[in-house]
Amino acid sequence: MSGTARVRTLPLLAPALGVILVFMVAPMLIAGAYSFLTAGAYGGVRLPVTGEAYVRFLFDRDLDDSLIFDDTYLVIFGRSIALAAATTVLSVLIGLPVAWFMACRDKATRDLLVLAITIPFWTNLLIRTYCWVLILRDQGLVNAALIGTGVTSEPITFLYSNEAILLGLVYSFLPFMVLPIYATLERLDPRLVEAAHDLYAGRWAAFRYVVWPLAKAGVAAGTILVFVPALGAFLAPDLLGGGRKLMIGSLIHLQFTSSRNWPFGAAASMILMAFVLVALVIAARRRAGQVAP
Amino acid sequence: MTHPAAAIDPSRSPAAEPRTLVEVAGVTKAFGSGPGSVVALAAVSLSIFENEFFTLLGPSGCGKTTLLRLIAGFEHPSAGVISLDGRDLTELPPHRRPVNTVFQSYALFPHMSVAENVAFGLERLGRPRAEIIARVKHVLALVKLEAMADRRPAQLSGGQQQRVALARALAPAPRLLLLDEPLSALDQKLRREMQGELKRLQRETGVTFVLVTHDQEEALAMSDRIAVMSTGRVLQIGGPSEIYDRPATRFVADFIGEANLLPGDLVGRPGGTVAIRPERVHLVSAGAGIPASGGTGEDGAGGTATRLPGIVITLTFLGSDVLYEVALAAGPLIKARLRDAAPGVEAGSAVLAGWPKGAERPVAEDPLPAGPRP
Ligand SMILES: Nc1ncnc2c1ncn2[C@@H]1O[C@H](COP(=O)(O)OP(=O)(O)OP(=O)(O)O)[C@@H](O)[C@H]1O
Ligand SMILES: [Mg+2]
Repeated sequence: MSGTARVRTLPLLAPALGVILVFMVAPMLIAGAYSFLTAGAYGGVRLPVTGEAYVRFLFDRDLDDSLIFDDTYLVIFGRSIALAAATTVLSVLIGLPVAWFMACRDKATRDLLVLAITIPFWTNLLIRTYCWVLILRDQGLVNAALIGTGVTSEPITFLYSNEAILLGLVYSFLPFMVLPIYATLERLDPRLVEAAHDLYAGRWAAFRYVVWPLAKAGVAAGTILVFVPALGAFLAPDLLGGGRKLMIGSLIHLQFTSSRNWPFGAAASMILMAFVLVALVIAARRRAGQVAP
Repeated sequence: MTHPAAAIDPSRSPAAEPRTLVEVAGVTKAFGSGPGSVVALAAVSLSIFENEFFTLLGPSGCGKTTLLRLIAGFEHPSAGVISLDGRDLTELPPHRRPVNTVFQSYALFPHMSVAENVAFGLERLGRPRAEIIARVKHVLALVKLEAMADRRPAQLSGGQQQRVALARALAPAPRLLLLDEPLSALDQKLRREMQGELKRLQRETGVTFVLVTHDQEEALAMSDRIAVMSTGRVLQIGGPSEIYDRPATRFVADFIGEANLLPGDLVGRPGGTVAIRPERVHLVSAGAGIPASGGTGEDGAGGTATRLPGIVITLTFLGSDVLYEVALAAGPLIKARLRDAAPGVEAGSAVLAGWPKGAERPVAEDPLPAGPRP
């Protein structure tokens, strides 16, 4: 029964499967294959097959070819996770009130606000991130204002710090948090909030027991949409971190450009992907567990 | 400030004198400001007594929901004062008012079970766990939903959801229960059933109910007292029979049941308008000799009844009754609703339409609608 149904639906699914195959599976397979090859002198890859790229992630080779543990890349990896997690948390903290504010407006205003949220996408992310350099640098807008108002006499260095990277990441990915939360809140019946107030819930209790449980799905979607790309981001760390504070994304980017070590770049992205997959599976398990205890 | 409730026995015996629970004094509510503002309520004043079943009745858009939301605290009056137990509610937010609402759309929390929904108010009030469990059980039994305690609202029928909404609002034992057209989403049969159920719950719990409806039959069947509203004003407040038998204005007469509205000149009350219920009108065959026109318009003026000549235009069988429409010689149409067909009266017959003395009620003209402000 289900066998014949599957045969019948196959032609209908074919285009979708084709898209997934060409755009998702094939690049991953290629990256996976590259990670087990040897780097070519001018980029690219060549034989023989080796696991060297993965070894390099954790170890350095001494002159006598013995392995020495090296945490350089682990630190980069850890910094990436920390920054991506901080980005996600900040995005929720900012995005939730923003989405709530939007959802409480009337229809015309809401449509306008959704449009406003998407306006940044009309300009290239590289340019927008570079604008933050102009704003934050020593001769930038912020320092000019601070010096002009006499708050400080010497410019304060904002750039090239983890905080600057974080700012850039939150700026880049905030819309991906706001929009899914807004989508769930917009569907939330305002009478439910009134009912909560009617039943002796103050503002906080109404949020905690009614709004939050119903907005959680949007926050979960936003978390994935923000955390995953933030983890692999390289523009913000490159421009705002000045290349001094590498993130895993910049590391991978470097391997495919100036470092010309494609296998190592591919291996790093494979490790990143494995981490993301494990994190998503754990999150999905936990959520499934909450729904049906 | 001395609390008026302190002087009264807290057990609230139903036999006690009617005591005012809610006082709405000169409440006006305007939405928006400037030329585009809408006056939803215009200087409404009324009192709701303790333990009574009070109904706000009126056509769509007359301000019933607005008045309910003002009492619940979801809206603020533009002018006037609402007090409960003698205490001014103006500055009290909804979650501090001992008032619960049954929403028209039920507004059940979809992520909670039936029992969790019902427990919500008690939990926010910080009642002890054991008390909450007992109370939820008791209230669910009251609405006959014990078996559904663990279901989600989405797994219930419309009537069951409605009863959960009722149980949820009753659980914290509010001083006042507000019901905004709670039955309008139900089909006819379920509706009748729930009307009886609501009435029973009100009697059993002793909670004061304020029901909003635009269904006059529902209002007449269930209420202790009814406030008839139109365009943001209260036109009349009274018991069902009082409202039906002695409508104060033209609108009330027309909106509640059916009414013949005749110019007062026809019945010797010049100037005003009178209302006569169709079931009070009787018809006598006038025979062929009575002229269809040129009648004096009054017959037996000194006797006990009014009689006006006219011609039957249509008659309609309504099952138990027959409805006649008679064109009076003096001009207006009059309806007569009779138990049995009048002998020898059919369409085209010349008749005398009459009613007992006093069956006609003089009614006042209605106040001008609130409408938008100039
Ligand atoms: N939030 C609002 N903003 C502007 N106008 C409003 C608002 N709420 C109600 N009104 C207006 O106030 C008037 C009364 O509305 P209300 O909802 O109280 O009517 P109602 O008697 O409950 O009608 P229905 O039987 O259709 O529910 C209407 O003219 C309505 O358009
Ligand atoms: Mg309404």
